[in-house]
Amino acid sequence: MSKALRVLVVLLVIAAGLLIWKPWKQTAPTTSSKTLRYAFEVETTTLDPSRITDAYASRVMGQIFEGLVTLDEKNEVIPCLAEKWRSEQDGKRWIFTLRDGVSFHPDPIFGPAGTRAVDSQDVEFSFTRLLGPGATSGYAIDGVLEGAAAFAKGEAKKISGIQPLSPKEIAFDLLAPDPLFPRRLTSVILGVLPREAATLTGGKVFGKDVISGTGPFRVVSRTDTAVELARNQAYWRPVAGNADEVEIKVIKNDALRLAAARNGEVDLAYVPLLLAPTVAEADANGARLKEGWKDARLEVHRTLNSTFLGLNCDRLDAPLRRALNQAVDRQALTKVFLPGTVLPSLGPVPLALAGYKEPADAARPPDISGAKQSFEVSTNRARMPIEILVHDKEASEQVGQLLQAQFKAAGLDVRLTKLEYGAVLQRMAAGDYDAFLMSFEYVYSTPMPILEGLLNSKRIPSPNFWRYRNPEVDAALKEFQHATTVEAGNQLAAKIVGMIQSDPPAVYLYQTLTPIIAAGRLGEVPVNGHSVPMLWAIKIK
Amino acid sequence: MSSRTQLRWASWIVGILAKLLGLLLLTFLLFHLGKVDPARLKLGPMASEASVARERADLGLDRPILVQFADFFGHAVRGDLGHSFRSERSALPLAAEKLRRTFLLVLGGLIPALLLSYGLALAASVWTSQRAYILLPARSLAILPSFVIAVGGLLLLSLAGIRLSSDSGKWAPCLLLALFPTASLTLLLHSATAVEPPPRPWLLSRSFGFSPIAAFHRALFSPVSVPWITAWTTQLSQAVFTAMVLELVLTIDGGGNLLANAVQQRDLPVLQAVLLLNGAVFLFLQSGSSWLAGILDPRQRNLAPPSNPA
Repeated sequence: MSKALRVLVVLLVIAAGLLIWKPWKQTAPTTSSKTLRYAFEVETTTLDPSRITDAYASRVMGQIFEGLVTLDEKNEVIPCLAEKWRSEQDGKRWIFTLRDGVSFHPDPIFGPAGTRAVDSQDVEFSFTRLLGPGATSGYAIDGVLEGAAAFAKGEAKKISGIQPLSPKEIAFDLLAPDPLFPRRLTSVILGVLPREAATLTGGKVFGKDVISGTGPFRVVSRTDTAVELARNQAYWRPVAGNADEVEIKVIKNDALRLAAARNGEVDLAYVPLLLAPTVAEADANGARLKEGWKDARLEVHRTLNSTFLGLNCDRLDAPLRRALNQAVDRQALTKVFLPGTVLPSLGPVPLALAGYKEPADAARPPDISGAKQSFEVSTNRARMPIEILVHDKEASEQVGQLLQAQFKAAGLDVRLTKLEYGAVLQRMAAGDYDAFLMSFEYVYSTPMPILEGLLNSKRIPSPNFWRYRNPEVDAALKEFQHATTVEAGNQLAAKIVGMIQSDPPAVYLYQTLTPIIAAGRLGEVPVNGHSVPMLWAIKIK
Repeated sequence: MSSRTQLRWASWIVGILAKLLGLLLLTFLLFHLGKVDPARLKLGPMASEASVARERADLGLDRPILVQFADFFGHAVRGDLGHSFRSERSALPLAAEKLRRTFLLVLGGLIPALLLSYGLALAASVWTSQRAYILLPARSLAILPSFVIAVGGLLLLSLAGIRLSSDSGKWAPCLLLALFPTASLTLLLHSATAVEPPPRPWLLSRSFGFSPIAAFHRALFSPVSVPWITAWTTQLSQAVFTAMVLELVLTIDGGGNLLANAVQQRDLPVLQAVLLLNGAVFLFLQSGSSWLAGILDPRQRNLAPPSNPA
């Protein structure tokens, strides 16, 4: 053996020994026992609720900002900054009374006092800001308030439908009666900001340089890749948790994030659904982490979302859409994911909404013969193959392939076209598609705005992307104005979901639950339907 | 300064500005050829068409393309590339801030690479009997692309249980960045100073009685080392690309992440700011490299920018 080769062999043996021994092995850094370390998926470029551009941001903002109402971990709507509310004019006007003793997090923008109490003008400011220039979250109240359209066009300086009646009372005048209007307001998008955010000087931007809310945690520091929170010592209600600090670290790479959780470097990490089977397994007792995970557990939480195959009603007639709906085996689709993390569903209304039940069993077997019969009477048979747009997020391509096989079994020929997510969104908005796969996270915790937006023919082309026109459904949607209880609203929603099965604008497929890895030192991690982890309620052992 | 020198300086500056303008024009055209609407992408699928139209108007995207370019160019010559579509921050300072971190990362890899390659090449020329072992790591690494070595090294470090994150210090990314340049520059410098048969400058120095170390340094500052100088500039561009890949993987808040986000979000002002700054840095470095080559090798002097502006 030549000398060089012998040296190389010796070096390789030394390297192998080092890899086994690992003398450089670092233990997880010591940290305060009451510091909660949270690995986050996307950059925290802004913490301004009106500038949210993805569904993840609310998980951090939910610690800092609060709205008039909120969701608890059972997805029940509970009072928050508003302690009570009443309606007038059969639900066309709503008056909220703010609670006493709520102050903003200390900040120099409040002057020498350092802080001040929340009042109705802050609420007016926050809602108005949602429809102002630069806001990205205005859809949460778009088409709801009187005067909002004129304000958005620049024809009015304020929204006439928002009226502070006193420092502690504020009234909302709606375009149409909504007996369950408060249930629209649970998202952190509608969090209350200080009106001083409108007059920042020195080039400062709210959400980046100045962040002040009323939540259980206040921001100590923020960069695009890390946020440090500290407990709000002046928080208006007692909290069950004992975390003094929260260190939010952005780890975009899924594998590195899960590795950090495994190594004990972080206490909390959301698990991407497609990766869940790699770290967890499930049986009749539920899902749990695989062997090798020390002192950590998996929790699965219900959130408000829906995954569907959107259909272009201008291109595909009702019999063809019905055929596609009948041919789908939703139960088989769920096998792509970890058992227990996906629920088949028939409609857009989140199953996680308290008290809501679908009109039929979504896990039923597909009706292949029915699909073939429907397809026989379709006038679009010459359109085949149908093009389904898929993208690179949320298992879109994998689910698309499964659907392709299922449709083929029913004689329905489809082809998949993979595009960048933005390109699919663009074609969706332009109506330039046959079908597309998409997932939505909902900011509403009541069925009406979801169904109204997606199915009302007056909402074409957005958010009624499928150009759906069904006079019976339009008429049924108007009945929400008279659904004065949650139960009545849920029943009406189930009825509408049943109605659209024979003339579907989309083939609703499933809804996902959210798996979270929590370190053993944490007590239970409550998560509400908007996917906000209630870090203030976590007990650190 | 003679008029000829002035002319050469002026043509050099105009050449750089022309290249930068071409870069901006190309980016602008490519952006507008794409069919993704930044306004819709920003507001998401649930936004109404009216609000998307308003956003498009706020971003100035509803104007004719020539008007948009004229407006953009008019601001660009004053150093204003507009504001990010997403963060509303001024694009040029934002890009400069993030790219500063990227370039610091790159320098953190390339400067050690420069020093290591110098040391290894010097050792190889002095201890000629051990040359094969000294150059073995360099020969092994130089056959792979830079980013493959970096990502592969990242994988190995991760498997070895070494914490890798943006706040664990920059030593890991810098180390990974330094590997390929060290290998490549070592081999280049070795070939310039002490291969078999040795280059003429080295031979001449030895024949005049200079020690191997002195002969090495005399060869280092001769025209034969120009490829080593040029290679350092080339390594810079590879290292920037590798650094951006590492930033994406390790979530380091630098130019790589900014660029990736700008492409995904169709944030044209930020995209142009990143490309412009990157382009400007490389053009100036390229010119500097040519200037240095002209000093070391008189035959290349006329191709370089003027060396004596005074």
